[in-house]
Amino acid sequence: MISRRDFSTALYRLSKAKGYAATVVLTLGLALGSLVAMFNLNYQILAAPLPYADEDQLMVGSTAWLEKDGSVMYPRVLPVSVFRQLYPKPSEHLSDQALFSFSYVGMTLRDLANSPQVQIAYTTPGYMRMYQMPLLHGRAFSADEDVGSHQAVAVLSEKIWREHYQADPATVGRTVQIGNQSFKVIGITAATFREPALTGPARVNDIWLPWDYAPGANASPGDVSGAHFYLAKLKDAGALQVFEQELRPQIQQKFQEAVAAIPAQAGRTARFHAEPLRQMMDGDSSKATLSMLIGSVLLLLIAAANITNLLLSHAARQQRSMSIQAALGAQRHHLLGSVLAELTWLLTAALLVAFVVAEGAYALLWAYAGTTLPRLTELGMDWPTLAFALLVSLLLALGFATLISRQINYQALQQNLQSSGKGSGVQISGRTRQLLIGAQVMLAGLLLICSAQVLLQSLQQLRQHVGFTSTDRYQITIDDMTPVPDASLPLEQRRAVYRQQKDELMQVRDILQQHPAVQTASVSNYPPISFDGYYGSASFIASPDSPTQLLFSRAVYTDQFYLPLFDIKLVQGRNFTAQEISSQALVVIINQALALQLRPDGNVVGQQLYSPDGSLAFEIIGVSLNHQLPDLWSPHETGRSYLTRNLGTTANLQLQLKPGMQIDKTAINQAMAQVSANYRAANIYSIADNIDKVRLRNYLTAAATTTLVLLSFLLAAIGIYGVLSYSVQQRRFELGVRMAIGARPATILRQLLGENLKPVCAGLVLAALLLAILWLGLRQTMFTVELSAGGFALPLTLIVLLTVLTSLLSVWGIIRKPAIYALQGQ
Amino acid sequence: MQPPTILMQGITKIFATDEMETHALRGIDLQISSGDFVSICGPSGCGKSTLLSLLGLLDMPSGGSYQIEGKEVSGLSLSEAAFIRNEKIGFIFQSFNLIDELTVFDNIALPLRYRRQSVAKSEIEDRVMACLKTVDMTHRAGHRPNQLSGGQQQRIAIARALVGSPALLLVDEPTGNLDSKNGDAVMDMLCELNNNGTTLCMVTHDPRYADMASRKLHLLDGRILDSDGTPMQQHTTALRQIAAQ
Repeated sequence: MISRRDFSTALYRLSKAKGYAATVVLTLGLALGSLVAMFNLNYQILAAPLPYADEDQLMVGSTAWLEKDGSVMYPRVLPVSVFRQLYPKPSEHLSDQALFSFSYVGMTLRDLANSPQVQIAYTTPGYMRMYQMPLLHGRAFSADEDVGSHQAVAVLSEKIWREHYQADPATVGRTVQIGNQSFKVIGITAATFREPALTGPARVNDIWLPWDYAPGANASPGDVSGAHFYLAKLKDAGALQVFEQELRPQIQQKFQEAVAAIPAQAGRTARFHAEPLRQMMDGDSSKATLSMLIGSVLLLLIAAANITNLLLSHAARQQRSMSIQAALGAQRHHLLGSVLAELTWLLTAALLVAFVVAEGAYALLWAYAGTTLPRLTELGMDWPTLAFALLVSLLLALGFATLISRQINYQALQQNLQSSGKGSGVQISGRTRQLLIGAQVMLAGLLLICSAQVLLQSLQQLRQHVGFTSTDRYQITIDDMTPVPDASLPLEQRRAVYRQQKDELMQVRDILQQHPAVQTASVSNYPPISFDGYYGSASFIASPDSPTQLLFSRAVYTDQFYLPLFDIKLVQGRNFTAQEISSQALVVIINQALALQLRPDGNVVGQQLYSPDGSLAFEIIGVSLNHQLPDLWSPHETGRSYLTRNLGTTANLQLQLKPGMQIDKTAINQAMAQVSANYRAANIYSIADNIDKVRLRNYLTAAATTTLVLLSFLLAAIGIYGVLSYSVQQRRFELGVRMAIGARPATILRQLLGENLKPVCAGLVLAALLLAILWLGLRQTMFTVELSAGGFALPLTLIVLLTVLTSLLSVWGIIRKPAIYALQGQ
Repeated sequence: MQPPTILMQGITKIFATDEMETHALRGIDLQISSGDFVSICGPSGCGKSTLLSLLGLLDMPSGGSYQIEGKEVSGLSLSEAAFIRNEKIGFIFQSFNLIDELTVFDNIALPLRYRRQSVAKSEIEDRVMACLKTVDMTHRAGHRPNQLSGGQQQRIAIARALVGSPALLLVDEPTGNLDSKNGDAVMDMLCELNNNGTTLCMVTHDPRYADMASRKLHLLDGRILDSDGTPMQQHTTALRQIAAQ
């Protein structure tokens, strides 16, 4: 049907219409590229096989911690002691199992001069078997290094081995010091190992240690931990429910037995859940990626409407050559063949552009969504994506060809030359044009309104003051070499060790406050927002008479400088005094959210809060302003408390530097060395950067939706201009007649605007109807939709402005010249 | 003394491209008085249509002076030219140039709707119906142009040209697309309009119809020729005298 000559002629024809060809290729390439990238992303998350054998048999176990009334306090925690008991006797349904934990904070490799920070995972031999950990050198954990063995061995990642041990094979067998403990390296993983991202896509573990060394591995009965998972491989993938039902009552019973003696815990339960590994890793990310896919489909539809307009206009311009071909005996399929040849060139070029655009999209996703979306490292051109791209291109080509062929009036073409070339066989009816404009506006309106709603919401969150000041504020993480007091020591002795630690760090603080670069300094376990997103916690009860009503808070153990340093405002009461800090007085400052949980009016200063066992009573001396920084753990402001107590294992310094000043680790280390040799500055984090990390999802959403708004606006502009311009060209003579009988340029413009706004309004009404249906549909799902008037006003204004501008542009060439030019078709 | 309806002096029109200049009109002097019926004829490419475009302010001259009822119009803006066209000039085209989407009534009403001062609906209706009566097409007011024959369409075009009571009717090959019977009927109508005082300037190829005019001009190579084939010097002198007054 299409000959080689058709292809060469089509290429020549396109070379003579470079602007048209470039517009089609870029428009389609951009939209197709976005769709290909989004398809690939969704394919990776929803369908692509995981890099582990028998992936459908792999599962992750955790428990939901339930309040007495059945409400979920924490959805994914593990009562560690219960699983430690169950581990030696695994279920009959399992073929393998493992315990897994991770360090909240980075640890340091102390045997190396630069003391690099590394991320540690703690696990059992089953982990390495289930996920087929490939080893470059040495071996994986053996049965001798299982739970309870306390064998100090380590497996290093290839990255750490290469970066810090010069890829020396002799590293296997030598000893490395991690924190206060020495471990013998027994293996190096291969670079190809893709560990299951159980703790989010941002976390990459550098070293695997036996589970015995995990913080909380020896937790007391009744303690729960969010840093532990139970991993298992089922003998039969279909046995997940059966396995879950088998374990659930056992765990519930053991947990309830363990907490029965603790008043605040009594009556609470732990409900076991077994999740398929894929579900655990992907979480709710498909919610975001499917929205992006829908957005890119809409974008492609807008682009397709544009291209249809452009192709039809282009075909109409070729009517003379088509007429000559028809007069010389060309059949309908000959004419269609030439159109198809042109389409083939255009779509091939668009497909190449699409692949480049998709690669760009992957790079952007890696850069900006690497910490929020799973499996991004696996994005790239693969066979399913290639097949999808080719299929979409083929469908588009067929769709375009069908549309054009329907518009070619073969009979009219044959008559063209007979009637001195007047008239056209490839005229697009006014109805088709109106439909195209209406459809285009509907799609663009839909996309613009949805994007604008999301964009404005994200911008609003980004603009909102977080409730504390972050400029020139820094978090200094401390590498504390003070031996951790043995758990067997009496509580008072352990407290004395931590008390000494806090006193020493307060001395460091006082020294640092003399540093010329430092405005003020504070000691605390955490800043208002830490670099890794973790925070301390403390629970209280409102009264010893009601020990079951537990109040959770994010706790900061600190000094009197903390609140002023971060400009955290007190809405009631006062800050700590130096005396209260030095004596570790039983006073507490809470935020508004926690105050409201105590009293509906929030007036709680002078009231008491109690430790869960009722042994300690804290007087509330102040109420601080709420923060506005929703994070992964809490979408709304949670309770916060500030206490004078010991810092514990997590110690940080908070610094406010003088404007324009900087400080390095050496200066901080010098200050620390004056007090104790046990402390070293591990890292300096900017609080502003910490905030940006938390807000990354908002930034990403804002960036993605801004891009979508701009792209859809650009495409809508090209498309609407294309249709209007073509429409005006077709009406050039008629407009000339109107001008000849006295219509002024402004009259012509006004008339066109009136006519053009009709299909635009119809498109907007249709978009509104679709949005209403979409909104009603979304209310039935887990999606939360917050609508803003600006999110409607912005797109509507843009579309009306676009119509006015494109109307003006399309007719400008006619109304700025004398009427004779339009009458003569010039 | 009443100024002439049309007064052109030394009008030139040059079409320039990157490669060459074409002198379509080379110093046209022309006077048309109220009630005149002037026919312009000449071979293809002689400049007839260009002259008609300039007369109708559809295009602007490259040089010379052009006055309508004593007002200089050669340097008007597009918008001002549109006003003059709307109020002073009526067009009748060879291919009728009716707008297909509009009814006969609306086609005729169009010039009134483009007026600087808006015209009352009742007045529009009265004037359109009067024009339809003039061309004997009252019964077709609600039809669309494509429901009419060529002759009928041209009559509607005449009615549209008349509805604004223009000072001058410019007629471009009015019979070109009509058979001889319809052509004759249209010419009879134009003659009748002229007899009733309408000023007409008509471009035609047909010598029969050209002869119906009270004055006949020949155009060749962008110049107006006398009836013996020499440029009309005496006319030029007379025009200069009028202009001086």
